[in-house]
Amino acid sequence: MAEKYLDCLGEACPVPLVKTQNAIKEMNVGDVLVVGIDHTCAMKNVPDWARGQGYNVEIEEVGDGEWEVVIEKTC
Amino acid sequence: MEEKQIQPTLYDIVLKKEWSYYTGSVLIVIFAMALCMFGSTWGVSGALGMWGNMFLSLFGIDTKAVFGTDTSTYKFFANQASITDIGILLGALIACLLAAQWKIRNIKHYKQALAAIIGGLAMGIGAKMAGGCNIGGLFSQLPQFSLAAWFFLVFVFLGATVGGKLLKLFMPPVSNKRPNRKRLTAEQKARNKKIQIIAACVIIVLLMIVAFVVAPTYPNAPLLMVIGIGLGYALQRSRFCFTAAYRDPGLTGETKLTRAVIVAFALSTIFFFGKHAGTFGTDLSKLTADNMPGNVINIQMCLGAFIFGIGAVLAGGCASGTFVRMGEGYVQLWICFPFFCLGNAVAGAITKATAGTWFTAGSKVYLPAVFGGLVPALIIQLLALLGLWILAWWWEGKKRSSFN
Repeated sequence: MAEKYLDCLGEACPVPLVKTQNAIKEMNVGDVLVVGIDHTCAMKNVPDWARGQGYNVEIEEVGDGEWEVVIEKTC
Repeated sequence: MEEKQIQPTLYDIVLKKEWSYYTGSVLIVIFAMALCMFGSTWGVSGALGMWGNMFLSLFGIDTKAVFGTDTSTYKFFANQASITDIGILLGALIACLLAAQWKIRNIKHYKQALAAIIGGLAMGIGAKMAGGCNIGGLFSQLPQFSLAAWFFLVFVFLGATVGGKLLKLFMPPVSNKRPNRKRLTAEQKARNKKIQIIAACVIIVLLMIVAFVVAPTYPNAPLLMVIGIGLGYALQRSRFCFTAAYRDPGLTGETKLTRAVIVAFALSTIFFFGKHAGTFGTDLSKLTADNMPGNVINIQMCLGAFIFGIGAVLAGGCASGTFVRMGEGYVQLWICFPFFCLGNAVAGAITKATAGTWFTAGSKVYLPAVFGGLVPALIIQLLALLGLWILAWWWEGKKRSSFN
């Protein structure tokens, strides 16, 4: 089970979600992707998309308006 | 990995937690309706063009002769779009501060600045040619049964599709290095939260003072300001985005915002049905060529919408989105903003030069006049929107199942 970090800080929509989708495509089932986000829209649409895909998602606010979205590729 | 369940506090619920997109649809329609009732229909990009012209006139350019815009009579507090635009910025700023989520969101790569400049110019030029942005050309027009807005929708979608391809050239390279910053402790978080909430309160008090000062001269200004702030707050809190509605289906396969915008169109259509029934009569007996709502459908409008669509995808937000992001502290959109203004002002030369030529030849099409009354137009428009909603819902499912 590998964990990978993806830095999307300072990036506006749709860049964070596009990068997240590309990263997940290359991951194996069971791997974890941590996406660093400070875009208020991306902290909603990235988890929304990942949950809709059936992955486990956790959001942690690591700073003021800065989040880490932890996505476990479960399927 | 376990799913942690943290119980949200009252503060989280009232001021922090993001709203659903549909909540955004309802509130944005309510505020847009309020603008219609107390002022005129909601528009955003007009004020940006005026500011661009004012900036250019500082260099001695006769903007009236060159771009067709007279800046000498402009007064900020007498101009609805100016007040509501700044209101949107401040509303988003207040929403962000109250949620303790404000920070300077800096760009990390020069390509983002480049995308902001090109996107800003394209949006400015496109909005001028199209006779409005996502708001003035689409959101405030489509519910008014204007066929021009449907054309705008088609061409802005095509533009966004091209913009999505171009965006790949401007994306910062993928980085998998975690930036070296300290995580905030609980005490630091609590202190920052207090500072941000106090800042929001100070801004609100200052705004109230401004409202009282300008109220005697401009009696409409305080109310318009409140509505603008309401729009900004609702847009920020619900993460609403008009650009995402036509950008994301092609780029990421997500259509939640598409469907929320369609619902906003539908609600707004019902409102305008009532308003138009009052103005024109359900049999349209009081409709004349002069009071017919909507833009003229011509090549300039379609091309403008196309260029606007490219720009909105590159910049990371449309006109209203730019103000929301500026309020949230996005450097990328602060870079975009002056170029939007300049592009919009300079494009006045295009609209001025092409006036009366084949480029602008066309006519207004008011759908109730085509369908034989307001009631059939209402039914057909709502069915068309329902069809689009189902198409968007089906598309998301299809893209999802083909992802893995």
